[in-house]
Amino acid sequence: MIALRPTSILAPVASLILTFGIAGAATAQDATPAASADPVASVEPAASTGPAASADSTATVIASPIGDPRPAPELAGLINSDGSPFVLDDYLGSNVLIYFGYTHCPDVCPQTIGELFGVWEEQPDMQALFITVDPERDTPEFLEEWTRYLPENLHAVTGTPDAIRRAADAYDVRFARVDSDSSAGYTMAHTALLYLIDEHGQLLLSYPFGTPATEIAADIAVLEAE
Amino acid sequence: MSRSKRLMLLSGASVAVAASLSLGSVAAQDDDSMDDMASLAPTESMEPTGSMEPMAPGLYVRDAWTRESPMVDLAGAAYLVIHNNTDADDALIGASSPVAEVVEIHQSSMDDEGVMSMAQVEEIPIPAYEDAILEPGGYHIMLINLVEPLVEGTDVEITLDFLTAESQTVTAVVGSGPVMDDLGMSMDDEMGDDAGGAMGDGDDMDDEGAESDG
Repeated sequence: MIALRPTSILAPVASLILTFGIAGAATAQDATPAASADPVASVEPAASTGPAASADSTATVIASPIGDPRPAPELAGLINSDGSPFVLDDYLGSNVLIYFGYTHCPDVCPQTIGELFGVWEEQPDMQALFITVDPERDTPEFLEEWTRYLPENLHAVTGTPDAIRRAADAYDVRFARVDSDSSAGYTMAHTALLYLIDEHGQLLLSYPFGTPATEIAADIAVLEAE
Repeated sequence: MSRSKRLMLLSGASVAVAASLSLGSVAAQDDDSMDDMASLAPTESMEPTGSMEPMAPGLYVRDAWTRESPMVDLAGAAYLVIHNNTDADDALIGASSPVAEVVEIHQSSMDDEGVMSMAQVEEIPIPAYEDAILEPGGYHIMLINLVEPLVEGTDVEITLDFLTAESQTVTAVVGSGPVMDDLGMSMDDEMGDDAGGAMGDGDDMDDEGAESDG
């Protein structure tokens, strides 16, 4: 159950936190809390740091600073799988990993959820929020069924196409429906990062697809120790 | 050839470590796979197996696994490695399985901006004396319209159809990562043939490990 935890892991963690401090200072982030509080306002500055930063790291995966730590952009108008309105502030007091994906995603999303299981092994209190980019198939009812097979710490939300697009824009998540002749139906192309929000509701880091769970867990351990 | 095989081993290990996953049980199975990984590298790099008989020409499939899939409405994904031990290119052109009404070959990929997408492909090339690697985030076999849920620890039969070689039916273990079984071990040991001995293998392995970590 306890994964091997070589002490060498501490080095990347330290450098990672350092990196994020420096980059935060070096990046002229004009996304003020006021601006990001309006989910409709497109957060252009984030576009230059988020996925762009991950694109050149296909070989070596490491968390990317998302700019200055800033209040996590609001997620307005989303609904829980039981049909109730979703409230991001309910997560205050917990570290949260946010992922935008879709349940009919057979490869990339399950792999990422697999990483969450790895994080949970070391950080069982970590919360995970799955925001679908496929509201057509991921209805509240379907998500309710889907999450029955997942840990309680994973929460899945959906919403109207407009609400989901606004949420995605606020986190610089890109997605698009891709029609296909496949018997599996259409797919959703999407950025596949994990976003780390700390217990104070600050958006801190993004992790590109393939980041080892141990790295994410180590970052959360650092936050827990603060 | 042997280099690509070792790279696969490393990436396979990292997949299993990263993806202690899937929908459901985690603990026991993962411990086992972790142990397998831990023991695999040293064994493979240090043990002079002396199995010098050359591998017969043909396609060799190993490390087949498929993800747990509790809901039949959602497609499953299967992964494996095909080694082409012949001097001619081949390709995986189709597959079938009793657990799914439809089986397709797909490829996930990421564009320059980090957008990941998935597309059906007609074939997966298996170049002469190289490996075709099906792994998360890349090529995979889609098990569509599942007949029953895929339950961790059970086996799934998958028949692979090739452009040139005869079809093969392989057993994929349902779980969260590749299971390095005895067959895989012995096959990998045999690749010492062209690598000049066990010590050389060990050194190569360490080098690759350092690269992939960096």
